[in-house]
Amino acid sequence: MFWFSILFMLIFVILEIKHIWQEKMIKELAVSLFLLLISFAYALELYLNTHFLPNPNRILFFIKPIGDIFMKIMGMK
Amino acid sequence: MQENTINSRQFGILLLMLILGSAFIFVPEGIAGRDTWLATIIASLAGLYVLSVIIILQKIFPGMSIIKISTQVLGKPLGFILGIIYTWLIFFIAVLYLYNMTTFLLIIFPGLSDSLLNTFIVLTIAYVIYNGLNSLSRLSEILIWIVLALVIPAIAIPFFTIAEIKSLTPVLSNIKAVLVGGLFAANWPYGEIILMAMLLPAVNDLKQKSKIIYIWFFIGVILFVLRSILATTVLWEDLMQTTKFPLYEVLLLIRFSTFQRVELFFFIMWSITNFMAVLLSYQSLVLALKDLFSLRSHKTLIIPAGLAIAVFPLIMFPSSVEFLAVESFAAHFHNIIIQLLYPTIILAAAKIKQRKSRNPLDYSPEMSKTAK
Repeated sequence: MFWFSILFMLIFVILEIKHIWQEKMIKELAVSLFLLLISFAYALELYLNTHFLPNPNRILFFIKPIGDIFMKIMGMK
Repeated sequence: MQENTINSRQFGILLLMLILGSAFIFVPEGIAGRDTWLATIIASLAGLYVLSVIIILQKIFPGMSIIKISTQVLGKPLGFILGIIYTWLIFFIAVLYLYNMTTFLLIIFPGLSDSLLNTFIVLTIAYVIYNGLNSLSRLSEILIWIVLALVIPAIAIPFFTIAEIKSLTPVLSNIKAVLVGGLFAANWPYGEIILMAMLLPAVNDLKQKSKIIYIWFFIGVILFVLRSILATTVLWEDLMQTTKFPLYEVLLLIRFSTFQRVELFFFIMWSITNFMAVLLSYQSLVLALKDLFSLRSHKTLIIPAGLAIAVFPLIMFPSSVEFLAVESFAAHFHNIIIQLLYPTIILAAAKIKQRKSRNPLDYSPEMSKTAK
């Protein structure tokens, strides 16, 4: 995914940078760069096979106890 | 016709495509066993509720997205926080859809890598989003007839050849299982209708023709009930609960003497509906990000959001074991809370605000500003 993420970045530069520069869309650039960089960081992690960054699906496990209680009440495994 | 407006019929078609693409091939309510079809009907009430709330909100605030409505009725800080939670939900749904699509495609094309498939699907969708909502809705108007022409035989052929109706009895033997199944399906696919709230402001005839949207929704519900009956009567409850793609398994069982691999014929239907579901979630994510950060254009976000959608399935679900752990035990409860509470809170706040604005004794600074 690392090389594909570079492809995405190149497409972004080709399609959008000129337009952003001309219209001076600083906020748009900031949000886009945030998304690109965070995705690139995760793609790099995949490429290097390391586990420094947190897995976002851990957010879901905050809710898991509610689900467990519900399933217990319903008598389901 | 304006570039970024659609009509209620087109919106209804997109809605049907979303729910078909989301869960037609799966049976999330399979935990209900023989009564899966009942769980599907109960779950559809959640979808009807979410759809009604977002349509009512849109009628009160025409042309405004649900994120903008929330900041208007709840104030900026609370509206922004809820907007972030809503955007996260859309992102999570988009990642799930892409993961499901890739997993299914890898059954048909086992030699391809998931990174390549993710990139290919996302870039194709990015092209459609660049062309605007109107092109997307016209595309869906063409594709829906291909999909319906395949969905009907996909249900009818196995139903009249290999289904055994007796597997549906006894009815309501375990009511708790039906309720749990109903909850699972209320999240997936019905609750996911919430992401369509981002496209509703583009509907130009909502006040006059919102009934059409409900008609398309009910077509979806009927197809899902038939799908549940089919999966139960062909696979019986044990096999239905253990297979990942029950409807695919059903079609694998069809055999004609000279016509082999019938399931591949229906592969077109799944590809189209899955593609549309990923497309709609991706489009909604881009629009949600635009409104959340009050940006001038959504087009600059198409490629960055696409990269995020392409990368995160590989991070969040590195294996099917991880996917099952998330999808079976956590996602339902996480998603359904947001899907039901988010529009309810906004509608309640909007109604309170509406009532206050009608009250002549109201002296709040905001109301007095409006009066001026």
